[in-house]
Parts: sequence; structure tokens; C-alpha cells
Amino acid sequence: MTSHLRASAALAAPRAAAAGAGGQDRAGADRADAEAAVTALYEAHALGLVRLAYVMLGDRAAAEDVVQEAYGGLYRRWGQLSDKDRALPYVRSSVLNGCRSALRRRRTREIGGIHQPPAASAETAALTGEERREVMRALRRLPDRQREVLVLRFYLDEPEAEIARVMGISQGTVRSTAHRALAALGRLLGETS
Amino acid sequence: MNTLERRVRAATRATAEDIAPGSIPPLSLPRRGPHRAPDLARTAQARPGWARALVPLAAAAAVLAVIAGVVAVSGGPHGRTAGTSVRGSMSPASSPGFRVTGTGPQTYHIECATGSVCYATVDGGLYSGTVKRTADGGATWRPVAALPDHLSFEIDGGFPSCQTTEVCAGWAGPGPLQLAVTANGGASWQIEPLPVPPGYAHAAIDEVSCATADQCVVHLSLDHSGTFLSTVNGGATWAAARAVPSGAPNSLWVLRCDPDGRCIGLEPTGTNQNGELVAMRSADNGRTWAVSSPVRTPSADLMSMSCGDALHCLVAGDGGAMMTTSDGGVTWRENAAPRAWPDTATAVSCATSLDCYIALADADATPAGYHHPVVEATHDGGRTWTALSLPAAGGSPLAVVYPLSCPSAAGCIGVGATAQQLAGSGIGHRTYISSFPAPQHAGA
Repeated sequence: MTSHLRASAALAAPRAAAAGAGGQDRAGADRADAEAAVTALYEAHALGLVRLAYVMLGDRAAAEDVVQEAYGGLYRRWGQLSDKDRALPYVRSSVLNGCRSALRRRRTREIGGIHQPPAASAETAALTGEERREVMRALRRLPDRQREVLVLRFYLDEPEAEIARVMGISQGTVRSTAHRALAALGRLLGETS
Repeated sequence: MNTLERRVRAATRATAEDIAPGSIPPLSLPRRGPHRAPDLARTAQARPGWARALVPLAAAAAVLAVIAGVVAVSGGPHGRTAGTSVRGSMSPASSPGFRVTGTGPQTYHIECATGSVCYATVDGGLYSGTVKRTADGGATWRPVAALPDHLSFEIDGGFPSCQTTEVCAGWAGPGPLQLAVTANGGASWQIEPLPVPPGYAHAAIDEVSCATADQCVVHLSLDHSGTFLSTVNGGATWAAARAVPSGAPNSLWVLRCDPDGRCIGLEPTGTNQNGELVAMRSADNGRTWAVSSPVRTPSADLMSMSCGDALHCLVAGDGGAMMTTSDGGVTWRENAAPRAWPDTATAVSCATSLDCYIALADADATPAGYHHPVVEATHDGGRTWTALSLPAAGGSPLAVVYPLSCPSAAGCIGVGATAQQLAGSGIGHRTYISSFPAPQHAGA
């Protein structure tokens, strides 16, 4: 493949914007505002985003790196955000983009590295560790995009329209990809449905 | 929700709980501060010419200051070495440009053999995608023939490779390792089972490059290793590569082989923090390979790569990062994207050792994700660059150009999308664009 498009908000390390001499005070204030806002967002949402990246990548350190990178990008771009309410969707798109990049770099199909949860919620308590590992192993053997659709659909409970927007694909493609992913997953897990 | 869906939900959520509340490391913000609006890049780009003086950059951005100044690209096969760049004009009025040739579905990949004949892998409603062909420079696209035996292209491993007007090859699945090959422009396909090297029964066909109808090289990828198969007689016999050297990546992003038997493979490695690039090269149609030591890249996201031949490649990514090689990846030169360029390279296509095109756009937080695309061309190995104007699509400006394929110095055919097209939730429409002169379309 010759290139790869991060279909949503790709993070990009911006070139340094040198403030003019008269803009130093404002630059400092902008920076402080950005730090405070981005830090607050991080404290509120980092856990969920690291978990999302961890489900996608199966590697905690890589998941934390991806989230740090995403927030770093948000910070660098804070001044360009016309609608600060879109910061969270932006950083989540960035996390997903970071996961795609990491997966693309690794092109991994590794199936290990899933650890026992320290605690389980009521919803997941009935799931044995072995069954969880089995499902996650199968999930990680899916093509990246199929896995991403399933994670967004069933882990985050995102509607099709939002998955389409985040992934830059049509709703029809979301549906067909999810259908195909579930069929493949069923085969991998020995299910017939 | 059926049983399987419930299992997926439960497993992913239980796995997420591995990450305990309170265990997340504190945020470490970059030392560089945020951009300030208005975007200086756009402001600078509006100026006539690119001969503006460089703004001294803050000490914290010293590394970026190095890449922000000049384009200094290794030259072509004649030993020409570039010095300081003479930047190309940014005036669209004085530049050749793209024009809309048609519309189509979301397109993942495009590969043009000439200004008339291209192949595109488009969203066919299924993940495997559909391959279409144009013989009139993008005005009309027709699906190639279906693969026999209900097979389809496994585009998750790599898109079908179509380096010539009539020959394409790609991974056909499901089933054993097999290539779908056409020698008649996709009118019919032949399934070529591949010999499986020991231990590679479950490998993916990662990349394919067919320099001619007789010469094809295939890269097979496993989790932690990769190897090559090659043929020089149109698939009558295949040979496995002799020992692949240690340090070779298990997968490749780019595989390019030429009729003279030279090949190059590129793979970005490293981490999210520290990008690296590994190159492999062969001079005997893929039978023996050498691997370069990983080189650090200026950006961890060098996502766009293209090789004009097996010696000359350009890779580009975020933040103005560009690197070139003119010796098959043995050495790399870190280049500088002009500061006025948008910050994200979305596509790169090199037609020859000297002629490359790069599409860029500014990433943003809008639903579209991009705005302000440009396409720049160099015809001197990167010494100078010239912007090509981009058309509007249905009255709206394009937000991004991706993918892009430039079969010759004369131009490119690519795919653009407006913000509405990117953010839309319907069947994804895209706008096909071409910079080739109209007579080539009319005569095709």
C-alpha cells in the first residue's frame, strides 16, 4: 500500500508558530488556558480512552502512549479549535487514529498479552477469564477495520452514524463490516451464528 | 443482541477493566505550546511566492526549525545533488491544475499505469472492496471481472498491484495462499496458488509487485517474520527468497520492483514516540535481499510513501516530515517541507526518480477531519516544488486529496473529497480529479 489515510481528525505535529514580540503575553496566556483545559479533559476522560485503546491494541503501554499523543496533539491544536465542545470527539478520533497507526506499524496479529482483570463489573462478572481471552484472541485476529467497528459498536455502544463518522466510512459499510466481522468472529469461535 | 454480540460486549468491557481507575499516568504535555490562530501556515501561503524569510523559531522548536527552512533533496540518477531550494510558485493561476473528471464511491487506493489507465480499489459495501478500471483518465470507471470461485481480494493485506496497463495481481481469499492475476486489464483473472514456504501456511500476502507480466514478487507476512516469493516466468515457477536477513520487518508498506530486477521494500517501524524506517532491497528479482539498519524518522507518522523506481523513494508524514533515498534505502536524507505547506501528508506518488507529487492537508477537529488541501509537484527530485490548483466539487472546495497516483511526470489522477463528502453518513461519494491535459481523456 502506498499510503494510508487517517480518515478522521489526524493528528499532526504542527510547525512551530513563532509569536511576534508583542504577542508574548497573549501566547503565554493562551498556553496556560490550553494547559488547564486539556489537563481537565485528560483527568475526566483519560481512563476511558486508555481503556478504549487497550481494547484495540491489547497493550497497555502502547495504549497509554496513544492517549498521551492524542492529548498532546489536542494541546498543540487548542488555539485552532473553533468549537471547544468538539475537543473530546477530536481527541477520541485521535486515539482511534493512533491505534490504527500503531496497529499498522505492528501489523500485529499477536494474540497474547491479555491479563486477568483486577475486578469485574456486574455485567462482565459472568464471563470467565478463559472465555474472555478466547473472545479477545478471536477479536484480535480480525482485520483492523472489522475489529474497530466491533469495538465501537459493542464496547462503546456507538450508533452506526457515529461509527461511520469516526471511521470516515458510510453507514452501509459499517453495517456490512460489522456483519462480516461477526461472521468471521463466529467462525473463529466455532459458533454458527 | 445475539449471543455472539453479547460475548463481544462482555469480553471487551471486561478487558477494559484491566485498566484500573487511578492507574493512568499523569498527562505529559509537549513543551511546544499550542498553535495560535490564525493559522500562520495559511497566512504565509497566501503570499505570492515562497521567498519569504524564515521566522526565527523558538529554541524549543529547534528541530522543527531545521526542517522548516529549505528543501534539499538528493537528486536523480545522474548524480545531481540539490542545494538550497528555489521554492515553487504557489500561485494557482500560474500553475497547472487538477480538474474534476467524475465522482465515485469512497476509494482506498488508486494506481495508474498511464494518464489514461488506472485501477482503483473502492468501497464495494463489503470489506473486501471492489476493483475498478478506467481507460479514459478517470471519466468512467468499470468494475473488473469478478474473481472466479467466489474469491475476493483480501485488501486488508494489501491492495491489488497494477503497475502496468494490463497486469494486476493481488491476494485472493479465502483459502490457501493464492494470487489473482490478470494480464488483460481485469477482463479475466487467473488464480495462481503459491508454494508455501515452511512455516508460512498461515501467512498473509502482504504486498505484491509485478514489474512485467512475467516478473512478480510477493511478500508473505507472519506475526514476527516475513519472506518473499518471486517468479520471472509469469508464474510458471515460483522461488522462495534465499535467507531473509535478520532485522527484516515482518511486513511491508511498499514493495516496488522494476523490470531490471531491482526491488525495494519499505516499512515504518518504531513506536508512537520514535518513528523508524526500515528498507529492504534486492537486485535479482527478489531472490536475495539486504536490509538496512532502521533510521530514525522526523515524525512517528510517516504514513505516505512512494518509490519512483527501486532506488528513489519519498516518504512523508505529519508536521512537514519528509525523507528521501536515492540508493534503494541504504541512506536517507531528511528533507524539509516548506513551512507554508499544510501539516499532514495524505498521499505521495512518485512517477520517476525526479518526478514526485505530494498531497497535503491541515488536520482539524471538524467532522471532516481535514481542510485546505494542496498538491505539490517536483520535477527535479525535490529541489523545487510547484503547487497545482485543485478544483471545487459541486461548488464546495475539496477538504482532502487521497489517494493519488502519478504515472508520469505529466500528471496525476487522484481522489478528492469535500468536507460534506467526508462527514456525510450516506454512501461515501468522492470526486475523481486529474491533472492530465484534457486531450488524453478525450483520446482514451
